[in-house]
Amino acid sequence: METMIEVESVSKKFRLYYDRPLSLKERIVTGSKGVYKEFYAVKDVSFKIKKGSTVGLVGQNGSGKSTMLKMINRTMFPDQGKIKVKGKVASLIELGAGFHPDLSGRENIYNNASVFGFTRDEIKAKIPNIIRFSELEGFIDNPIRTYSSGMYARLAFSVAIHVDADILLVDEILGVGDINFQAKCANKIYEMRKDGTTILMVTHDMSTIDRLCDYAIWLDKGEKVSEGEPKEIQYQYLAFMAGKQEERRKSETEENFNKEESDLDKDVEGEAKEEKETRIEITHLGDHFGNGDLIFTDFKFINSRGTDKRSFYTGESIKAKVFYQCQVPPEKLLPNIGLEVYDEQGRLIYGSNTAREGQKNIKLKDKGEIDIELKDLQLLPGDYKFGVAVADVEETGSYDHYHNIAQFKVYSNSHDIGYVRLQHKFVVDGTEVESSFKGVL
Amino acid sequence: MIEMIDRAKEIIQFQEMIKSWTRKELRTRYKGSFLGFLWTFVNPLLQLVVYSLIFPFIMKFNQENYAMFMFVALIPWNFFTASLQGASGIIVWNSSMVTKVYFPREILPISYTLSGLCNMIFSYMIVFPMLFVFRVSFTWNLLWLPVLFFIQTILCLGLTFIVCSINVYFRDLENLISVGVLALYFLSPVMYDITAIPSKLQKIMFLNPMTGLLVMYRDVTFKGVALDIKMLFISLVYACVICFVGWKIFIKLQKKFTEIL
Repeated sequence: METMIEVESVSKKFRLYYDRPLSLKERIVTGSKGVYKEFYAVKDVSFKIKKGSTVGLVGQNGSGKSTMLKMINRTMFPDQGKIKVKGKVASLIELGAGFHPDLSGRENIYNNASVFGFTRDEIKAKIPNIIRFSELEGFIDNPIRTYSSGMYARLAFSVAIHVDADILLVDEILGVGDINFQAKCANKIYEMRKDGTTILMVTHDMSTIDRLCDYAIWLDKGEKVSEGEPKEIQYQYLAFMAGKQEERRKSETEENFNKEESDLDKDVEGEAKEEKETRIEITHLGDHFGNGDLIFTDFKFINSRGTDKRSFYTGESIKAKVFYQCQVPPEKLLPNIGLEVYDEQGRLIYGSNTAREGQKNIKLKDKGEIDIELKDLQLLPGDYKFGVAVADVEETGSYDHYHNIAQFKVYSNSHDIGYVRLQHKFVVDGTEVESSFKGVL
Repeated sequence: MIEMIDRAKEIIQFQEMIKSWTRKELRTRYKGSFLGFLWTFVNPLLQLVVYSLIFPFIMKFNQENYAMFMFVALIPWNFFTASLQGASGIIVWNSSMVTKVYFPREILPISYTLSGLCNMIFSYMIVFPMLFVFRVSFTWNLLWLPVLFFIQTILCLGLTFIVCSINVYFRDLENLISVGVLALYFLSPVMYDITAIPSKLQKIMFLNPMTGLLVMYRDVTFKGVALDIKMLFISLVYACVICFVGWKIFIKLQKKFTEIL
């Protein structure tokens, strides 16, 4: 296959000025070029993009993906290395380049299309299609300052997409116009893809990459981490991101927790002296309510391998560990242990307790641990809240109750919609349709 | 040099963009005003009215037909100042395009200069009937005008290249230029004839690339005499050198436009 874009150990350095002196006077007077720090926006990156492929460039903010795109688009030049690009490049990076508010839609189409290097006749031939695609037939001869921002974007997008480019550069996913128009745009991109246009898109939304691309390149801090099948890259990327979040959370809670633990120790000692007079207050687990006869002192999520985690793959088995402590003699309690799972907006997805499951006679100790195991977690990707409670068996009141003791994330390669994955299969005329869904990694 | 040829080829490929941007420049200049495009003609006409009222009555010059004398030089001078003053901002104002879309950057200065040329030609259309009104005789020497237009365009393009690219790096240039232009105005034979200057000083004045052109514009239109071929040739070479150097500077500086803007 023909290589359309060849990036050869490209580096791009930026100067980060702390206070960039713009004026000649300042330069002369201070005799300096200003205080700056150099950093690599892109460092020694190489890759090749083949004709007709749709490639996704992924990475977090500041990973250098947009800089890369700008260099391919030739608005920036690399400091080291080479970039070879074959054929006409169109970009959906800047829509409506050079639009003038006082000119009519038609004149602006004309100006905008000329930026791509077309001749007059070529533009003339395209104009009817562009206008039809933009759905602005009735307004095309009005000055575009009278347009709404949606109309403006539609016009701009229509021009950009009718440039018969060999390579199309797309930055982030297109939030143009209403849902119908977006679908139309997506269709048009599919069509161009079918016609052999090479597409390079930049995004941090992994699901787009998986849906649209046949190859992915992952950049982090200016360097290429890996490249390959979108699915493969997606797993790596998500695992990496989850790990990062984990780190941040741990360092945050550790700080809080260390502080409280020392308070807790003091309290326990105090309680030993004057029984019942002082009760332990737990604040580090978030908002809770209850009469305090029993309290939860700590909480942990662990995955099937026993590691402390807050993100899980659909299908994974997870265990919630809750540590409790009774503030009255445990024989006096009629414990009823419950669990709740909420979605991000706080809608209850599932809840149950031991009493409802028929166990009304659970014995607790003074201090102990309750494990709640969720086998084969069939939640779809998203953020969830976990709640836990010990109430009395009649559910008249709680000893301690959390609606949100911990949040967790679920990710997977599933594109299903809803909350829960229901086991299913499609059978068409007797043949089972194979699903790309992978359970546990 | 090879780079320049490649760039030139690419610029030719983008000729449609040059055309449409020149048109846009011209059309949007007076957009929204009541007279619109007519201003291109009305503006110089009103200027001429002002001069022909002020000079004969308020300031007395020996020069016969002073308003016309000045006007034929003032129009090219306006084009010249535009290529210095107005040009300083063309890259900066179009920064959203420059940073995000690829096209040969030269298109912006080229179309700006061409729109200036068009404006000058339109203004000169006022000159012809006025020459008649002021009873200045027409001669065949007027046919030199296109040649002068051509040379001045090359000169202005070169200056535009330099000014617009340097201004991206030093925004102070804009302000320096407006002062410089005012000084140059008095040092150029716009308000007076070159012969009014001592011949020693004349040599220094010819360092200004516009001096020769202004003298020739006045020769062929107002005075109706043939122009000095040697002066024409020198002006042409001078303009070409400035344009070449200007383009070189532009090519060098344009690589970092996106980062700086």
